[in-house]
Amino acid sequence: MTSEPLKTIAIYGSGLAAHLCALSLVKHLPEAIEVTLVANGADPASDMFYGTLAPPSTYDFFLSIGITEPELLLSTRSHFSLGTEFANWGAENSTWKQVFHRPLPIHNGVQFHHYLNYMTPKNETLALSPFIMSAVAADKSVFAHPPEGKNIPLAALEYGYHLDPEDLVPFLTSKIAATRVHVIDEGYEIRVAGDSQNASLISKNGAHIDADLIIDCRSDRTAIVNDSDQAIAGCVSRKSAPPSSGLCRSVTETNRGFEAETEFRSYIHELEVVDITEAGQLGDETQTICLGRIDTPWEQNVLHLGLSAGAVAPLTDAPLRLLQLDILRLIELIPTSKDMRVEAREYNRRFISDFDLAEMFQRALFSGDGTEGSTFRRQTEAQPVGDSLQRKLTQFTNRGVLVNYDNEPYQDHDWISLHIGMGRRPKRFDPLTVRVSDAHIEQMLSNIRLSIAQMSAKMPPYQTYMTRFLAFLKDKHG
Amino acid sequence: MTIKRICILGGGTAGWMTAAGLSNKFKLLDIDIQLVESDQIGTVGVGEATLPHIRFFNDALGIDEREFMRETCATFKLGIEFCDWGRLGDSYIHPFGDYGEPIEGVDFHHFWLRLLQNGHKNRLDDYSFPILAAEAGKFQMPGKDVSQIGSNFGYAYQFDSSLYAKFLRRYCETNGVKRTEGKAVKTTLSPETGFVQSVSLEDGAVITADLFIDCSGFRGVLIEQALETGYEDWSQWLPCNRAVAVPCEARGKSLPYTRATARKAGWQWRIPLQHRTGNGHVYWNEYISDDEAAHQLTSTLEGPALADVKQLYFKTGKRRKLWHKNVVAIGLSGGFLEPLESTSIHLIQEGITALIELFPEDICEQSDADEYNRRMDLNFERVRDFLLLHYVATQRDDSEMWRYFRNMTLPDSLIEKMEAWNSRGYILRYEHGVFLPPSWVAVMTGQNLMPSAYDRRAETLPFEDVLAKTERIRTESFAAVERTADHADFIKQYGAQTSIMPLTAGSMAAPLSARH
Repeated sequence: MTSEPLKTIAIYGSGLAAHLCALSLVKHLPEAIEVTLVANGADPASDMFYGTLAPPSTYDFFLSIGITEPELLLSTRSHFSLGTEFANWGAENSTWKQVFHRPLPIHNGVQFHHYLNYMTPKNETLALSPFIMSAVAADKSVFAHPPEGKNIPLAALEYGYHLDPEDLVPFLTSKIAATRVHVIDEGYEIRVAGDSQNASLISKNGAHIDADLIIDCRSDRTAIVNDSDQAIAGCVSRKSAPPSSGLCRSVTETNRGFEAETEFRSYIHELEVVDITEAGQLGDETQTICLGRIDTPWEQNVLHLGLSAGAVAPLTDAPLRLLQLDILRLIELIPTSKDMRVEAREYNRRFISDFDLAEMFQRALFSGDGTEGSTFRRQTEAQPVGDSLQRKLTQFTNRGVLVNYDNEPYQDHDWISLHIGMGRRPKRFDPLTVRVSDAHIEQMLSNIRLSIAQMSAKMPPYQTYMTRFLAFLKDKHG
Repeated sequence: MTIKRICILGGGTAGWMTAAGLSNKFKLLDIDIQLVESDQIGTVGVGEATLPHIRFFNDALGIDEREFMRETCATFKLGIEFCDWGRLGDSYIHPFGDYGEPIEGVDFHHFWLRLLQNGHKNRLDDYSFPILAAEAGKFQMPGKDVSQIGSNFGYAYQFDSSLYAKFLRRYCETNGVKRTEGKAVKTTLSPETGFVQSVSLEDGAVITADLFIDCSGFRGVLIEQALETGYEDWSQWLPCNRAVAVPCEARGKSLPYTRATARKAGWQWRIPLQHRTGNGHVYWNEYISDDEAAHQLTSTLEGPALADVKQLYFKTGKRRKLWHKNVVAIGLSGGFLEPLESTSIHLIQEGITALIELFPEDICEQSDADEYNRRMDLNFERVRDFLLLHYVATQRDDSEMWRYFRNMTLPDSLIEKMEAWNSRGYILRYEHGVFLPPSWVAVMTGQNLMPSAYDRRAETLPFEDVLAKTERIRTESFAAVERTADHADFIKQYGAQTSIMPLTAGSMAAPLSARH
């Protein structure tokens, strides 16, 4: 260990994580730190476990690495996204849209869902979507950019993107070519050389790439870590299709696992996921991955980033959300010297917290006891619920209270959508709900519903908006 | 059966704040709130200085700020000045606000560290409006335009907590809270559940309720004496266990901050109010006698004492469960952390907020108590680490107490925070807990912990750009302070000046000691 400044970083990988990481490093770090990207020749299909849904934070994330929205849209076949549509999900066959949106209103100190719960007859399920701008827009396939600083329902709309890693990576490669990143072709592997504790990249013919820090961005982490860990197999197909208007990535439960269908400009991306024991039932282009995480993604001078550190099933935007968090966390903790123990410890602490909380969010999509449904479902439900999630479920179902932990990747309103989508209904509401008269609550609910409905009626169909927007961009940016 | 009757036992700051919070929230509901207090039992009057969060509490009650300040003789508070903590002769202010502003997403102090490494000498404080205003004895409300210097800070108050309790009592009584005078002599538990059923008073009255809030102070009449909940003793980390307190005549310019001066076996507070100055000496009796502690206090007062010295005994820590069965402990009955960072009233407020959100409907459900205890434990623990930081981030070794802290084994959570700071100026990222990163930066830089490196991102800008950006903030901060009113003038023109004349020793009933 030495206090010499850190000077060289090598990124190992050929996929999405490696490319995004390389762009982030050169954008945020001084030129004194050399950045090398070493390809590992991985099958581009191994990025399928990042899924295809990118959260709203992607807009800022891309901007921070020098990619504007017009550039993204003009250079890839990406698509705006309003979230995930779950269809026939679970034993209750739940169908709902888990959309991106701003927090729900608070009225007289009481959260919105308590009023909804109070006014909904006992035997009915709660219908949240008419009160959420993004959900109504997704239902009607209409879209417009949310205006800034205006007090209209459209301002509460949040959107992310449909991103196909295989479509995105060639574009990122061209972006990297225009930076100071030193790109080296495949043929190297990470090895600890001699009696040093530190790893380096070594080729078959003995060539070395010495780097103070190596970032392992491989996506093909297949090894089973623990016996109890779950592993999955996935297969992607792309069929060309005329533009339609799927503003949500749709996830449908199947007998074998689940299917995720994501619309892109000019094709539909289909991902089928099954338990690894049933991988044989999928096509030839199957990839596998072990779910769960390692405990110390950063050890000595090697940092595992993205899927190489941990994977969750590509059910929601969680895999891409976690990838962004990994990169942002790394940027905040770029070592000042070659002694990186302090950075590694804090990185690992935050990684575990972010990963476990995102995994918990997805675990909440499974409410069975592990005896019904596909092997994938049964295996997922066999994973323990855990005290932290149990506390959230108990507080919500008993009384509609949201339990919070430090720095959750999903916010209260995401959890409310998920709980209600899953058919969870609080047994009682906040006692303060009744401080307002029934007529007043009815009026408030109907005002929100009506203003969103009126707004959505004025919004253009998604295809129309996109066509015009692209024409405008082409005109402006060439 | 739903909860219809709440009994609050104890009428100090905690009792009346709880009564005010609950009665405001539940005033249209069919819930009776009764507060039992005895004029025979004095109140401790925990910290008279507060944190900015108190404003949210008062706002939620619909309290008019000017009226509240007049009634409680309150002054504005921009932070706390710490004297002699890092080394004898040092002083710094822990402000309620950020230093400078982030540059391209990177915290300002990294750029300041870069300036230092390039031979520049400005203090980090020179980039903080609230510190500069406090040092100049000035105050203004935070500006509304957040892009302007002089907007991005918070403020709190220094007030007379017994007057605050009286003020809240009037508020509560208009909300229908019933006050019962009496001293609790017996608690009856349900033989089946062990829940508290009733409290009997000296005059024979029996108070029954569904939910009891224990605000009885250190004694913990319900939570400890009746339910034997147990106490988590934190004196291995925060060993100060006694205090002496005395008000004195106010002298000099009215200052918008509290002062905490480190002593050989503890520390001394100075809290300026409109009509007097509050003083106290918190100490560890292992290394100083009560008489000596009192002498150190009285010999350093700025003006004549207005009362006899009051002696207090405590043990730092918290109740094992702040909510146990149907008793919720709020205030000193729930735990005590020395008032070094004015957290006592804040922890009361956190307790009230959590209780309102998790208010039980019929019986007290275990899951609600568990969640309440989880939240409050986190609040207490994070405050504990921050207080301990003051004692261990120091170069002092001039007395037994300071040498004790040098050799202490710290909680891992605190070691990690200090190492991350020392090696790269990084503040561990947490969301919950009252003290945000700027507070940690204030104490660590104020007590001479200087990181050996800073965030690499702060190197991306050319040095001239860093200099230009930081200089703009510094000169604008000084200019903004120039335009700011004197603290005392601001209180007057704001309409917050009390009608109580400044107290003088001659105007008070002679202290007991003087009559002997």
